Amino acid sequence: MPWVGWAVLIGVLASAGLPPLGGFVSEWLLLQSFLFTPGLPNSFLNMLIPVVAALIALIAALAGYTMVKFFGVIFLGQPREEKLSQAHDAGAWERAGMIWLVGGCVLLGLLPVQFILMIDPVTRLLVGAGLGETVAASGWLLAPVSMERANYGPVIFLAGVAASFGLAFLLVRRLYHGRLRRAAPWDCGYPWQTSRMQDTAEGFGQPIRQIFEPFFRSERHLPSPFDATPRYQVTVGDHFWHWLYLPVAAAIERAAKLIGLLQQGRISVYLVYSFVTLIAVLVWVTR
Amino acid sequence: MSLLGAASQLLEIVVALALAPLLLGWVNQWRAWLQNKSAPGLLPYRVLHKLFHKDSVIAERASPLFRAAPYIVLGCMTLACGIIPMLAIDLPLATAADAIALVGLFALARVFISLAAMDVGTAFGTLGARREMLIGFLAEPALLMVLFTAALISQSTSLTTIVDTIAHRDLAIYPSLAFAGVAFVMVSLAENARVPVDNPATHLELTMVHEALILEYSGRHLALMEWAASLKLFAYSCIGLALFFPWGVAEAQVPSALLLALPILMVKLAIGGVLLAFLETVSAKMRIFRVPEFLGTAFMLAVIGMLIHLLLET
Amino acid sequence: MGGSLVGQLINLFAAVLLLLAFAMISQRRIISLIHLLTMQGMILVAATALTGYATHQHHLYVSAGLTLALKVFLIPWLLHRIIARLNVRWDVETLINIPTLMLIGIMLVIFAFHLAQPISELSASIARGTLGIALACVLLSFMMMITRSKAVPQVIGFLSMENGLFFAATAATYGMPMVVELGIALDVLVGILILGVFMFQIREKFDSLDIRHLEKLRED
Repeated sequence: MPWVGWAVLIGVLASAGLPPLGGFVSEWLLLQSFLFTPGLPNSFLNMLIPVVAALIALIAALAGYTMVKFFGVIFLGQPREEKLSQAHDAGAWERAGMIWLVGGCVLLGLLPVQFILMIDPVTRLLVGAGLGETVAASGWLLAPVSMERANYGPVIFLAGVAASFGLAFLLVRRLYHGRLRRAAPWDCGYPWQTSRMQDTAEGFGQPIRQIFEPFFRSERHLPSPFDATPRYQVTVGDHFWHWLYLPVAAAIERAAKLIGLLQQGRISVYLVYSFVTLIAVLVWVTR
Repeated sequence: MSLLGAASQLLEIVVALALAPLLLGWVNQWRAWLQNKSAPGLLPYRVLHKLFHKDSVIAERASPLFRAAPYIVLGCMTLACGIIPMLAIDLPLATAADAIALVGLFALARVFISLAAMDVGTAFGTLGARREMLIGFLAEPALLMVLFTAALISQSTSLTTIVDTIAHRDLAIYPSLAFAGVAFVMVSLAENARVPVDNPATHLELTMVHEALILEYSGRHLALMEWAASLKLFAYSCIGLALFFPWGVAEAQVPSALLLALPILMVKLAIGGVLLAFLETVSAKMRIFRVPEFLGTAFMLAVIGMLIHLLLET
Repeated sequence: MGGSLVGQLINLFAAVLLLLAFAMISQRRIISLIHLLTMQGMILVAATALTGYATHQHHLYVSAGLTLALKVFLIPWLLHRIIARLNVRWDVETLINIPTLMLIGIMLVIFAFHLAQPISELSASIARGTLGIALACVLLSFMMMITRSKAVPQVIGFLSMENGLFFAATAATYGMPMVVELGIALDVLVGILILGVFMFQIREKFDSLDIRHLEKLRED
């Protein structure tokens, strides 16, 4: 599925926040704004700025990990399921559906200045200030404050990588050769490769779960070495679910039970309720 | 863009491409000496030459992504070497990318090398990709924080401005840079697959990270990957020198300053290489699950560096 | 900016002190902990002497000399002897989740910096910015004492806490009166001796230096 694969690859790179695509521009602007926030009045908040910036950087890096996992497990390697042999590439309209999204990722990444100018009126309406003028002054480079402070030129960036790519390709072909041979994969010499020997999505994400273990409620059931039919099971839960939602749900349930006591199902009981309410309201009014 | 700027840009990329294998060879040479072994220092060049001559053998089910990845990785590393001010400050390419984009560049190369490793679908390839992404995901923000500390000092994320500011200060001592320096050393050890995190000399299946990634490559593709790895080491060394020892970088717009900057850079790199070899010799490789601790510590140190800057230096 | 070169140097020493405090938190080996403590002592000596030189307070030289004798030579030597006799020289402590400890450490540092900000603005000393760092060192050492379960690292945490206090006193007020300083030095020395004896007692009683055994002493 070359069409789907390449389109998703570009989307994956953009959402992982990699230059020179769309996701990186917003990540870059966000980090810039944190880095050069002028001194806040409260020293405590001031101190928190680097911590929050660090958190953003960590999240951006984690996005890269996730996206590699997503693309690697779904599109790369040997087919992991039987049904995949029947997979076929996207049709013309399906391709069009992906191509405009890919185009958006690429254009947002390569022409951030033009897009910032386009959305500038909106930021002006919302916060009363915009980047428009300073950004427009620097032309093709994205420089929110000034050229000395920070700049980023995605077009030059892409051209640089592409130029060294092309040069390397040409020089290798010209100076040496382009001979290529296909063979079975090496993998340290083990010849019987099946698709079950690759990482599953579960396996690929396992280190992250291990590092952030305190943040999850994960339960693992490992098979013992003597199991004839080994099974591996993991359930990953959320602390918030247990600490916040479940108590709230329990409280509501208890309240509902109390209210349930009122419901007896007999008409005379309901009439008593109405009667008591009427009396109570009358007493309250005449008081 | 001045003519001299373009010339210094070109010189810098050529120097990086030419010297990167030498630096790797130098480090390995010193490692060998320190361990009472002998090793030819020019070995990386010979290896590259030999690999380029060989036929490239790739797996039957390898996709075009697998074949394109070495060129992309090499392209990323070349551009990275082009934007780090190692010889001169006046670099035309430096306008393309600042410190954040530099980190993004390394991340781009890492993502491609991991995807290529997963492409063939072997057990070791995916193992390498998983570990590389694990290391990268912790090392990348730490590197970013180190660069941010320098950026806060010079009030700019542009690498040329950072080097300009730090080189021109009048003997000011920045305690925050001490933290950033320690964190940077830890990060660059991890990122370049050096000893406490990964052993570049091993093909022992269960411990390798970088070697597992490029296990399926051969011939010219492997040569490009190896070259890119040595370029990465070169780039990291130059970032370190640019942030912490920027003296000797050509600032004036004269060719003589540029020519003087080259031997100074080589001397600095030579000393750095010896220190790296020494560091690698005295430390032992750690278990893979100690690596998050190691890198987490680096990350925290870099953050504390920024905090110290806010407390002491503003 | 710290202003003069001396001020910057003192800031640098303060930063290194904090670095050492973090290194102690993440260090597993007892022998390396003692080395770190010795280094902390050396930094203290240098910082004290430098402050004395910059402010012409001669009693700070005496205090620096005292620190040198006590914290760089005598106490590390005593500790080395203790761990040699207890045969725990190469002991490794199992520490869980160092990144989490580091995270708490950062929060402590932010808290300490925030706390010290108004105080250091009142102070006129050349190293007023360092008060926050000294406070952070004290808190970090305190946390190290909490997280350790062996006796020797706890004692080291205690000593490192005292180092932080000492640094705070030097940085903020150019040192305490001589009498107080001598008293504290003596206290620390006596403390170390008593704790040394204590450790032998624990070992003899429980065959281990793990202080969790002390929990058995409580009334049930």
